[in-house]
Amino acid sequence: MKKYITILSLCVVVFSCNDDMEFLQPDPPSLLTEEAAFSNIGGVEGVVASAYNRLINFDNYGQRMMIAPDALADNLEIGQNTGRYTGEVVNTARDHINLMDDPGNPDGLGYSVRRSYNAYRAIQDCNLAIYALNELGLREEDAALANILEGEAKFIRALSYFDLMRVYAYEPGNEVNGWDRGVVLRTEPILGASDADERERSSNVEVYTQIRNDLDDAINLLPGEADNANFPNRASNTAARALKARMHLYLGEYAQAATEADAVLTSTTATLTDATTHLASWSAVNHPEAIFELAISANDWNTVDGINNSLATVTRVDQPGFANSQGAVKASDELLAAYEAGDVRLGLWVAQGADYFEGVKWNGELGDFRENIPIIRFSEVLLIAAEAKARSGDETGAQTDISTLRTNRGLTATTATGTTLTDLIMNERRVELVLEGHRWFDLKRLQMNVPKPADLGVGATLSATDFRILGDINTDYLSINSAVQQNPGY
Amino acid sequence: MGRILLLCLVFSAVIIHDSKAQRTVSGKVTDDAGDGLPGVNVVIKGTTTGTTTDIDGNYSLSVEDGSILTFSYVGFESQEVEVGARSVIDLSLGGVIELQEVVVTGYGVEQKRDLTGSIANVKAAEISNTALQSFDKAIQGRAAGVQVQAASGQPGGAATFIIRGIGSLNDNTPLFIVDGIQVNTNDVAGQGSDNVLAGINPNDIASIEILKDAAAAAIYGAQSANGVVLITTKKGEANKTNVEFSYQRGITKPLELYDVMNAQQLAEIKAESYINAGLDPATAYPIFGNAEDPTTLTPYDWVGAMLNDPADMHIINGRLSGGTDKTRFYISLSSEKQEGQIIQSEWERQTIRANLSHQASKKLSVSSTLGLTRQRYFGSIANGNFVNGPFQAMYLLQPNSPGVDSSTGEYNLYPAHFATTNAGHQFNYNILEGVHEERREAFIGQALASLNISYQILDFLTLSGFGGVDWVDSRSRGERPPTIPVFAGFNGQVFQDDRSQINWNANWTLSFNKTFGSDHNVSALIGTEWKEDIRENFDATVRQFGNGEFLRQFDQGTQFLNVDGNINKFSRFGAFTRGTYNYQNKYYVNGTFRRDGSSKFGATTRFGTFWSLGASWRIIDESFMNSVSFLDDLKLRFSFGELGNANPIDDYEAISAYTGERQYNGVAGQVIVVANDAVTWEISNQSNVGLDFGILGNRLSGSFDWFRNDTQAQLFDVPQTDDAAIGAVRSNIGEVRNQGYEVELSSVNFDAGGFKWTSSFNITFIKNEVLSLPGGADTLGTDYIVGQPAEFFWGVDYLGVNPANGRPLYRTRDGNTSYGNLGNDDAYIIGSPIPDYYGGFGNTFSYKGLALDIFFQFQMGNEAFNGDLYNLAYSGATPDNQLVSQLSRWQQPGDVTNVPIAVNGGQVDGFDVQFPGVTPSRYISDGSYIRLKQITLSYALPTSLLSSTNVIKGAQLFVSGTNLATWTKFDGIDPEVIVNNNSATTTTSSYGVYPVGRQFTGGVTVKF
Repeated sequence: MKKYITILSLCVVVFSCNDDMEFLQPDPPSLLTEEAAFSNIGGVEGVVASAYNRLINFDNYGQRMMIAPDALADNLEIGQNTGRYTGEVVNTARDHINLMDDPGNPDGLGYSVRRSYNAYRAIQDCNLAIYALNELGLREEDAALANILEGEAKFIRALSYFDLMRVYAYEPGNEVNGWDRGVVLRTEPILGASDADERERSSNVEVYTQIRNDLDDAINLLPGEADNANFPNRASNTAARALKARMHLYLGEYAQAATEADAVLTSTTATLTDATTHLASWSAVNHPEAIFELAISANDWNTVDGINNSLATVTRVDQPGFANSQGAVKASDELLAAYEAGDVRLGLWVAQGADYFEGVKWNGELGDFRENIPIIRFSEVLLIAAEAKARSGDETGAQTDISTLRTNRGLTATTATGTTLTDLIMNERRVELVLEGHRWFDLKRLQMNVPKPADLGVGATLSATDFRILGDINTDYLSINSAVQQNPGY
Repeated sequence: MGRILLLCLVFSAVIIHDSKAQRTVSGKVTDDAGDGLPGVNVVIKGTTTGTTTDIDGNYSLSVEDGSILTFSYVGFESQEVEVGARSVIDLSLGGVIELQEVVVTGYGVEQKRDLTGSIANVKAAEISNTALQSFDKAIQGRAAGVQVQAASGQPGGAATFIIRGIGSLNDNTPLFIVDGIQVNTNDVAGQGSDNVLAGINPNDIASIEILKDAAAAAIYGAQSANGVVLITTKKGEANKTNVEFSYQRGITKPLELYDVMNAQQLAEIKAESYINAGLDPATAYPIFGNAEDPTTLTPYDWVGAMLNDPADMHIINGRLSGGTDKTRFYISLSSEKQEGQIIQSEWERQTIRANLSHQASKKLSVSSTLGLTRQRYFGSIANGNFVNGPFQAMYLLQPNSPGVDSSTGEYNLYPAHFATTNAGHQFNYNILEGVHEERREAFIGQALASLNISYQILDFLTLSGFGGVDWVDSRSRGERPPTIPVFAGFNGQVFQDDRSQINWNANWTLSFNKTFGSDHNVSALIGTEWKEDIRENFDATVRQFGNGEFLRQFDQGTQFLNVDGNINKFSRFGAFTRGTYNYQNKYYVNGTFRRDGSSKFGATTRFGTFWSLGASWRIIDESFMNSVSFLDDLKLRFSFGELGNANPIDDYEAISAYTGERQYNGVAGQVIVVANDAVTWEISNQSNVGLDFGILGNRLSGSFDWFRNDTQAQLFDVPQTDDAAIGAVRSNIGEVRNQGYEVELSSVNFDAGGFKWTSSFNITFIKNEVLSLPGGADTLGTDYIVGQPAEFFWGVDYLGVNPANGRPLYRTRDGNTSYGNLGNDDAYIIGSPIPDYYGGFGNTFSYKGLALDIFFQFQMGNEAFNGDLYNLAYSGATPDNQLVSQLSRWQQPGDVTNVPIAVNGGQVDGFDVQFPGVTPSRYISDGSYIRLKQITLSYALPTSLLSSTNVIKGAQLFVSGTNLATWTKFDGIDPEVIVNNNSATTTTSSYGVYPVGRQFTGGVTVKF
């Protein structure tokens, strides 16, 4: 009997297979596992570097986020017909900013189109950095560096979600027919495919809450500009605060926007260019007004990226110094008309034949069409301060701020009030920030109808309630993730 | 006092007993065919003393003079034999052959009559003395449900081996187990078409069992879905020392050759093609010569120069086996060398095998196997559309360009009259010079070793421990001397690729076997198994040698390129159990359960569960069958289960890893490459219904099996939700069905007066169908279509040549006629390489010592893609030599032909005159074939002739022919070697493949 019991217990032992069996743990000698990749905090620096790099992708600030918002609105028309932005300028459905798309190669299973989703790639990098610092114990290694890296990760995550929201969702309070969906929210890294669960889009309020929290953390964690050896190419606390000011502006929280903007203006080391220096400032490696500026290195590009995809090739026409440049877009007549006489910024548009003005803001000063890209400038913060004050009852403050900008651009100070003042500020935003990806979003956040250039022949305006105000969710994304909802109208 | 008396009594009893001549009698119980029968009960009549025969049918027992031995075996009438004075009693239990067969099963042996599963069995005799180098090719057509195709006709080359159809869209390789050692079959060397299974000398194999259904294979869990092939090597026989020597010598000749143009023919069509292209034909003359003026021609026969016809081969085998009751051994040596069909190529193999077994005590036995092999592949590359692929180059090099300068004997530049410095025709590579001066060589060393220890705890309970290792080491080298003009710039190049694999598995099992009452037979098995597979490789290319003539010294090179190496490994652990119960040897049920864990599987699914249920009913043993006299055997089998295929998962597939990528502002970036941590085995749900029968005194016996294997959770790269931003990861999705039936028949057609004629026949019908694809899609590009077979050709029908202008016409998907420039959207399915049915048919005629074996093998209902036509049937548009058939090209309006207009460059109005952009049906032909695979005529010298010598116990002379004739409509050379690599799921065409050869051998086997 004892023998049988022994045998029986042996059987039980045999089938108590344990998932954690030492014998079955994969031991990849030539693979960089999590353990090796995050053996020290340098691994986190690498992940954060990757996150920054995502932002310079041509589907992000490298090109589309800078040009498409002007093309969708009223600032640009087609220069040379290269097929680029031809749909965007006439607001063809689905020719939007497509921050989640990439006209790249199909991946896996013959899914036909365009999947690169750079914004989410940056978010994944940021989530991974935050995870590695806090869950893998790397914070203990160098607490000061860890704070900076976490601050940067939260800043980039906030920026990426903010951009996704600008493109795909209505700001809270601006909903059309009650459509309040934001985007899918992920704050944990995807370490294995099983983490990639299908989620539905969070509400716009939920996503903005996340952005707000991240920015608050980033402001606390990031160093000041003086302590940031890589200013303005890596984020400082002023960059996070400026982004927060911008967020408040978008959400109509004007008093807070004004407070944050003023805080940035008094603490930043960036300086406002004046009428004599402004044009040349666009040829500086880093713009003197830059509070946050993305750096592009030669080895970030292959040999044809410059000529095919850079901001300079899209905006400049073929001419000495810009051989074979594409010149896809030019200024609309309406944009040129928005400049007042004496505005030095009109010098950023150069006649290239009849009814053809090319933008010369982007001029590839680092060679081969390459240049750094300012994302947040002093003048934008000044404009945020002016608009926020104007819309929250501090017209004096608004006049002061907008006059500061105007007098440094060859224009006169203003004493306008009411809608004259806010219209003036909006026009200043239009001409100051053109080719930097603001116009469409400014119209959208204010629920304004989008004026369209007469040359395009698509009618005077695109209604603020038109479904094309929001970008479409690409169909592959929808078919892969059945929980994700398409925006109305698509 | 009483005690002393008792002691005396015992003593005297012992003495008396002793005086009655207690001694040992031993022998072997065999079946009709002379194969040993295990498990036969041998009992001294009137006592309970007895034994059973071992796996080879041997027994040994202490008896007294005058004893009578009773031999009994389930299903047979007992036989009684008087011992007399004999010490060796061999017995043949004649009669019903099928029933007494023992087959090797997973972790055990079973009598065939007891099986519930479907197991094909190939006997040693069918694969011995084969000229086919490896057993996998030798069993082609020999077993139902098993499709074997040579992947290359190169001696020692690889074969594809598919059991019951293409179930996996990724990997259909079965699990090969040699004496319990689970061997690797992957590519082990970096040169040629190597085959690790060629490391086993077919003459050392005692039997091959192929486990085909759930009941038979599920015990191997995550490795079982593609079927399991069990190879058992030979063992010695007790008290019978055998010395055997065999020698075989022969030749290999090409199967077929393409009929390509001579210099004059090519010159003619080229001149015409220049004119049709608007060029001056005179500009073609310096290259191709002028057909009108034979003095301008310098004809050369590239095919003749490259062929090694006939190619020599020889095989030497020697073996020594024997032993005592307790210890048995089998030792063999072999050496084989076969020249390739191309000059300067050969394959050789030397093997040693030493198998030992020892009965240490009544309860403890040990056995070991050891096989050592060295293979050497030398010479040209195996297959492929490459300039240095001989079966491509020899046909399409220009016949007006001699390989050798006839006056100096030096190699000519190629092309001889129009040498350009780079990117000329065939990259200016003179293949004749290449095969002579380049050196391509691979050495593969292999050791297969195992040790087994068994201890009988109780008479019905045995504990066994097993360990085995498969160790393969290879070195491949390719040397390119600077004397070859196209490589001159390298100043000598050596490529070297060293690979090493150590792959071991170990298990213990506890087996239980007991009869309760007289009707309830129960057996059970439980065990666990460990396996680890470690593969390393290192390769490098070195250039710029000080002395280009001397490339053997790696370190003489100064420029190291592509230095690369890596280590991969995986481990597996499984626990398994099997239980079998039968009532009165009539009603059988059988269940298998295995849990398998693997380091390849994702961390979230480290273990999988696999199982099967089987049942059988021996109808023949029912009393109501007693009256049915013509039936000798009738049995029904059922099985179903869930089996796994872990082959397609790469070792580290399920592990997310990091990679250095990008940078920002001078800081190196690092990103995660996310893997699917839930990736698992492919799951095969297999059902089988079988019927075994024997009639007319078992003169006709056979099996019928119906099966359906639904393989789901196919591994695909599946895109993940965009917000996860990880792209596509390997996931389990999609399903493929293989459904069909197999028939196996064997018959004794005539058996009288010493003349015997037996036949064996098998055929397998399979329908392959993709049932579902990822995302519920109906199609996946042009790769897979729901409702269609897993492999098909996507192209357009060729409608022939427009008689008006000589241009080819194609039918597009929407029914239009087109000149070409078509894409995948215009195309449709124009055939499938998957056969509807395949099988083999063998006949043996014997009279006394004379035997004639004739064996046919066939496969029917598939199409084959002949890629050679792409080069060779281009109606003279390219600089390539052409098939003679291209002379019937269209020349003037009204010509009715299938060969389009000859136009240099091949372009007419922007349309290619040969290739429409997708595969045209003119490259696809019927791939069905019947092949006279083997004829062997042997003569065993009568023992009367030999007994006088007293040394030679037996001698056999034989002559044999392989691949003697092929009946096919295929327009290429060999319908068997279709794919140019060893992947079952590749529908690539046969570009420049190495066809199998036609072999003629003769030999002698002598036993001492």
